[in-house]
Amino acid sequence: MKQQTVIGIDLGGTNIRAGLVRDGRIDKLVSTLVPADGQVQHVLDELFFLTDKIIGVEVKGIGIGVPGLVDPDSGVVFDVINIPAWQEVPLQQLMEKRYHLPVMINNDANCFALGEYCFGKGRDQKNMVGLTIGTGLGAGIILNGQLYSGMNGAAGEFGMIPYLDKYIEYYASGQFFQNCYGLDGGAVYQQALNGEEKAIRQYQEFGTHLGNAIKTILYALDMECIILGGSVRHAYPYFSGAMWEQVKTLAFSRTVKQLKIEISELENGAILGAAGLALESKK
Amino acid sequence: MHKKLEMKIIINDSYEDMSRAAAKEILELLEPLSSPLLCIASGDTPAGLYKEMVDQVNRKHINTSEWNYVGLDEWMGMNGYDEGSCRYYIDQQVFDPLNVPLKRIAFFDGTVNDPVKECERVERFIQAHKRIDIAILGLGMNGHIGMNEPGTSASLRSHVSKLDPQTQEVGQKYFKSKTALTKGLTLGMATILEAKHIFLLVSGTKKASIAGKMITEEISEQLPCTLLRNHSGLRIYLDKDAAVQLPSNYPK
Repeated sequence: MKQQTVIGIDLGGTNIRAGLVRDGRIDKLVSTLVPADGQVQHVLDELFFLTDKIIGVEVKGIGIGVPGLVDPDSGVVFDVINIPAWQEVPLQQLMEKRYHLPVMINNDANCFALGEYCFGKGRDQKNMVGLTIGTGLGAGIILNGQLYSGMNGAAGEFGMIPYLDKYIEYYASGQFFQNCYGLDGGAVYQQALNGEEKAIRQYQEFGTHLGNAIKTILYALDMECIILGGSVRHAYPYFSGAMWEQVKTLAFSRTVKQLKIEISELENGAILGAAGLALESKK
Repeated sequence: MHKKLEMKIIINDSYEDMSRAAAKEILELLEPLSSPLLCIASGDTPAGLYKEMVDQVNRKHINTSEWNYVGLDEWMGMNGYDEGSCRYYIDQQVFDPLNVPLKRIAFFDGTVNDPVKECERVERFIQAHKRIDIAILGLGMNGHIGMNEPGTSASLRSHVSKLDPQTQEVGQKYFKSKTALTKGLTLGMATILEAKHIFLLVSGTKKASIAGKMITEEISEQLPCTLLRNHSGLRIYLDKDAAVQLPSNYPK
């Protein structure tokens, strides 16, 4: 299955990146800016322009990851983050009409999990959760070797679960630094790199919150593998201690013992994940 | 969660800070792109930005080998061999330092016999890349953008422009001796406004008045810079001196 050639597309808020993926490798990679006006047709034009550049007869399918809500069955995209005009776009239908190939669409967090499952640290797992930690907290769930999207493609929204006085994402994503200290996460990371104690303490606090988030996931899904992605993963050495300490307070010690928490090392994971969508549709 | 991109004005304390901040934002946009198309303006104001960009590219080892460039405008009768031409400065500030291959550049040649064909050539280059990704612009004393002088139709694409007396006068600063500057070749406002992102740089006390007008006056072809306000991805970078006549409620 993974030997087939497919196209994976990461439709982000500021840029679109598309890769021709063969045997888990990206053979060709093209990318462009999303027009700032965000008009549906303008963004589609760019999407088509990029896809046209790399498509060939060998391509068997197209997968697209989108930062927003997606109905995985109909392939309709709702409320794309950073592209306000994209409130309801039948993206799958538009792409299939143009390329006469199966097109699969899912949200970017689900694509991240799928990318890790197909090509990354999750390759040997049957069950895993991919957590992308950037300015938000996104998650994708692989159950019995398949992406579990839920009824409306909204499964795995752990960030929205109530926690303390707010919800998990408020404390267990890059927002934490802004929300609790009025600081930019990137700046805190720089300070931590410079060995500033205050910044390192803040990361430990963040690690405790993330540990609680992971505990929530474990109580719900009893997972053996969680893979961390997103920009915040680079700060792992600063928060891993506090995170694990919190995870270890889980009531089920067997789960903790078997649990692996890995850091994503995939380059272009979003594109590979989108390619994974196209490959998965063939199963 | 849904951050809408819209016009933004960024004021920096000094010209150097302005150049650095603009370079940083532009490079962040460009870095992930495989083969972007930049529109570049010549002039005193963006010179600092280009220097910063080249420095940051070298420092961070950013691969620019597949970047493409279209020149914003050129004086009629001149090309890169003429000291003082737009191309002459951009060669020095951008193309030479970044070793840009000729095939990745479309720059108006003002010495050609058929300027209309030359305009078509430049437009075709842009079309081959679909759209300009980032347009870097300066602001004329009379509100012109490129050589789109006040009163020029906003529907024009690349065209031959008749220059205002003021533009002819101001342009003298780029030449060692008095030079006749009556016409130019320029991207039109229609071409410019199709860019995905626009960065306008404004510096110095002498630009304060026109910078203020650009924000406060009604959008009109009589003041071409106001047309940029129709673009949702417009960033205006100013230094403090140029910003003194902005209204207090400008969009940050």
